[in-house]
Amino acid sequence: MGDKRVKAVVVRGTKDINVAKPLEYMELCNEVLEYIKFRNENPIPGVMAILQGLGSPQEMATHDEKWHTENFMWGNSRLRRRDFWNEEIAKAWKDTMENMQTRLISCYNCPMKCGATITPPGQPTYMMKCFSKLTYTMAAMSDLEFGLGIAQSATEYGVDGFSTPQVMAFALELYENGILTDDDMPGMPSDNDGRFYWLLDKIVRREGIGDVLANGTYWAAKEIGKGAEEYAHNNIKKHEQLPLKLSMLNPVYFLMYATGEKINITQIEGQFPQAPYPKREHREAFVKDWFQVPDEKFKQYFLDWEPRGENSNPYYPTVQMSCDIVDWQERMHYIDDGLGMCAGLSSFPLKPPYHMHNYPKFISAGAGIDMDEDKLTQAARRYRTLVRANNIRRGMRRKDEKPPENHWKKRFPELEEELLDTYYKFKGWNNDGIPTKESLHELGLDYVSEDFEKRGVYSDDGDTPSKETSVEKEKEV
Amino acid sequence: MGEKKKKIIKTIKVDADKCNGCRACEVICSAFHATPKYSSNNPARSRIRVIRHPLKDIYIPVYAGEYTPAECAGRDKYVIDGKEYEECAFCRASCPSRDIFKEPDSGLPLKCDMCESDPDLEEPLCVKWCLADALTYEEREEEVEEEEEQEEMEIGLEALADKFGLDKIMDSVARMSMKD
Repeated sequence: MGDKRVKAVVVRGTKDINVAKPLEYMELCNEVLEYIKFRNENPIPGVMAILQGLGSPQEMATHDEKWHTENFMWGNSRLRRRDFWNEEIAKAWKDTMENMQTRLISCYNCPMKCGATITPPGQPTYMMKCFSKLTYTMAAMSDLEFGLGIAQSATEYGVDGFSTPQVMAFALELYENGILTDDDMPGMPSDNDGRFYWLLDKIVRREGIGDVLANGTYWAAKEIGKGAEEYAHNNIKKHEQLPLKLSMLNPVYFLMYATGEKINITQIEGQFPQAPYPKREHREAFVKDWFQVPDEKFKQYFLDWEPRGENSNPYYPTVQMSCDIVDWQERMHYIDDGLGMCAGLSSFPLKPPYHMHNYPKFISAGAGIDMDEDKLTQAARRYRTLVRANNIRRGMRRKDEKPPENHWKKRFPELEEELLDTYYKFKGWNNDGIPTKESLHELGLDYVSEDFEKRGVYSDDGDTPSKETSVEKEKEV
Repeated sequence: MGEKKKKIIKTIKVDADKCNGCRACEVICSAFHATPKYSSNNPARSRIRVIRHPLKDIYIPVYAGEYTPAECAGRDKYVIDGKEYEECAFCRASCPSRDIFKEPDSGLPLKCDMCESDPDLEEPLCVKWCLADALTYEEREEEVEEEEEQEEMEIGLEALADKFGLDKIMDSVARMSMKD
C-alpha cells in the first residue's frame, strides 16, 4: 500500500451477508458469545493486565501503565526507566485519560471495546486504541498529555502511531550527536515537545529532513550517512520494531522476530504465554481449561517451562518445541487474516473464543465450504508460503532474518543458527529460507517454484546455505 | 366502560451512555428476521438502528415504531449535556424523511416486534447480544380498559366518516343502494 501511495481501502457493503447453514452457524455464535462473557468475567491470573482479557490490549480502559513504561524503551528505543511509575504519575496520567476520553468504542459487530474517542483540550476528537496511547509519549520522553495531544495531529494527518514517533526520536538522537545539524533542522523549536510537533509537520509535508525521515529509520539512515546507520538500531527487515530490549534470549521470540513476515511481533505472537509461570501449580491451573491448543503436547510444553534452571530460556522450550509453538502462533494470525477476523478475539490473546477447533466449523456453517482442521492448516500454510515466496522474489534471504543485535543482552549464536536451521526444515524451506520445490508442490504451488527457477532464485542462493545470520558473524563484518 | 384487564407491557430500556456503537443489535435483528431464520444479515433490514456520530459522541439505539405516511411539518432539535441531536434522532417512525426502517427491497415499513416467536424467547435478541448493557428488557403489568375490538369494515367506515362527515357517507350509501 505504501508503495502505491494508498492509505487505505474502504469497502462499504450494502447487500445481505448470506449464511450457508443458519442454525448451525447461530449455535456456534451463541457458544462464542457465552465464552466471551465467561472470559470477561474470568481474567487470566498471573499475566500482565493487558493480556488477561480478550480483545486488542485494553490500553484505553487500563490506567496502570507500570509494565509498559518500565519494560519498554523510551526515546529512540534506548532508555529503560525501571523506576518510572509512581503514585503521582499514575494519578496524573489517569486524570489526563479521564479528562480526554469520552467513550470506549467498538468495531462493527464486535462485543469488545478496544478503542476510545479522545478529545485533547482545544483539539478535535479522534479515535485511538492499543499501544498508540504511549508511543509518542515514550519516544519523546514526555507525558501522557503530550502523547494524546500529538496523536490527534498524527491521526488527522494520517500517519501511524508506531514508526512515526520512532523516526522522530531517531532524528533527535542524530541531532544531539551532531549527525544532523541546525542546517538540517532550520526553524526547529528548542523545546522537546515542540520539536516533535515540528518534525511531525516536516514528515507529513515531506519538507527538508522530513522527506528523508518519512521513509523510516532504515532508509533515512542510509540517506543521511555519516554513521547514522548505527542509530537505526531497532530494525528487522528494514522495518522499525517495538522498542524492547531484553536480557535473556527467548527461543520462541527469536524465531518469531527473525522469520515473521508481517514484520511486527504483535502480528505473529499470541496463544502461548510470553513467559513461564513461576510455580507448577499455577501452570497446572492454566492448562486445565486450555482447550484452544491444537495438540495436547502444548500443555506439556508449558507445564515444564520454568523461569530458571534446566527447563528455562534459552534452551527451553527446546528447538523442536519452539518450532511447534511458533508455527501454531503464526498459523492463527494467517487464518485470521484469511478470514478477515480481528486478532483481538483469536490469534493475539490467551485462550481466545475463536480457535483452531471451532474455526473450521464456522467456515463450514458460514460459507458452506467443507472444512476441517487439517484443510485449514494446509490453507494457512499455503497462504503463509505465498507471502514468503513474494518476499523471496524481492530478494529476502536468511541474512535478513535477524533480530536487532541489541534486542537481547544474552545471545547464543549457535543456538540461534540451530533454531533457524530446524525451523526452516520444519516449514519446508531450504537453508536460505526459500520454500523448496517439494514443499511448494505439496501446496499446489508449482508455478511458484517454476517462477523461482526462471529467476534463478534457487541457483543463486538456493541450496548454498548463507550463514550470515549469527551475531558473531555480524560482528566480524 | 369496559372491564379492567391486565396487560404485559414489553419495554426495552435504552441507556445511550453505555452504547459503544458496535451495532451487533442491528446484525442479530436482521439475522433473526431473515427467512429462513438467521440465513442472512444486513443492518439495512434491521428494526433497530444505532444513530451514531462518533466524533460528536452521539450513540442512540432507536427501535422501529409506527409507519407514518407523511413527515413532520416542523422538526425539533435537542441539546442534551451540550450535545446537539439531529431532528429525527429519537423518532421511531418509518417515515418518508429517512431511509431507515424500510425493507430495502420493497420499501415496506419495518417495525420492532420484540422478536416475537414460538416458543417465546427469554428476551429480544438485540438485548441478549448487547454486551455493553445499553439495552435492558423489562416487562411491566398494566391494567387497561378492555375494549371491544373494532372489525375491519368499521375501522374503514370510521376513517371515511372522519374525513367526509357521517351525513355524506350515509347519502352515498343511500345512493349506492338506489342504483342496485
